Amino acid sequence: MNQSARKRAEQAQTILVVEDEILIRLVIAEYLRDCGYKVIEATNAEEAVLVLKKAERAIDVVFTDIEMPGAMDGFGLSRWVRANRPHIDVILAASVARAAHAASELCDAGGNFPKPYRLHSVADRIRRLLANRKTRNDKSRSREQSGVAKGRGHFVNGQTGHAVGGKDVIRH
Amino acid sequence: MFLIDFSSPEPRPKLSRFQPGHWTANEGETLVALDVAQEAELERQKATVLVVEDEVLIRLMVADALRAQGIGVIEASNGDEAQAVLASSIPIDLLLTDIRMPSKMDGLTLARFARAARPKLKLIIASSEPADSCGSEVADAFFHKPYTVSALLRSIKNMLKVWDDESKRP
Repeated sequence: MNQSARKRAEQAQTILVVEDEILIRLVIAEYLRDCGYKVIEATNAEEAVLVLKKAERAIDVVFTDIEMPGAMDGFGLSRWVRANRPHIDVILAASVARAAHAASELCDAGGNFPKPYRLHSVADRIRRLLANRKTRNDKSRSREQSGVAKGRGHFVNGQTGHAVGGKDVIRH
Repeated sequence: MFLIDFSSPEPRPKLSRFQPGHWTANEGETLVALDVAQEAELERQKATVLVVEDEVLIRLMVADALRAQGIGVIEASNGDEAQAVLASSIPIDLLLTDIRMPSKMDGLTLARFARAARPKLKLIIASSEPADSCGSEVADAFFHKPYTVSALLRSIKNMLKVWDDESKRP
């Protein structure tokens, strides 16, 4: 990264993208990064609140889906932000098309770089990934039934992860 | 750049080369621009790591550190999300996964799924359990928690052959 690019990156606004569907989240987050924003990803409102409370980086915009699993949906998160972080803007996007549109408008409004690709490409890429997943899921389900990719149950997560003994150390 | 005209009555949408200054769409038509070079850029061979970690602040720390090294990162919060990514066409070079996760798919099952779905994928498992008791033999490398991000970065860069100075790349 050259000096001017580094300077632009340092000045970039930070957007917290909250979306429980990973194939949507990663495309929106990648698009916003490509147009110059710093992006933090959260998979639900609870994670978003934790990031808003604990992350060292100041967040400028919360970009959230409305329907999400868990105790708090996008409206609840929006209310939490208004009550606790009133200086942060909240963008609620109810569908893939609206999320892509809102991301595009954000790029127009304050991105450091020109739009990396057209709006249609964002929504289309998400739709392609989701459609592709459905096809592959159908295939893997039939494979699972034949015993190739069998699950094994799950562990319950223990302690909350936190950094101890310096930021570089990861314990869990 | 190509234009795809979905209003075309043909079974397959009509594809025509984009001419600058001729960007038109009549009412009711849907024109989707696919810039071939940009699409290729999107799918370019940039090293990409799929980070699977259920603790958002740890995930963020690891993802930030990797992105700072110019490595692409896809963040998954559990095994189910990671499986969706691995089952997609998204290019991934390395999977870094925790073992214990609150999802239907734990890290070890995910690792085995990844090995079957993408045989060339590099794989790192991180766990607070001893390596020999958590089935880590499926992985290329094992990190016992607590570990340092710098040690993890070194290992990932070596495995992906990412050099600090790109000009020295063979």
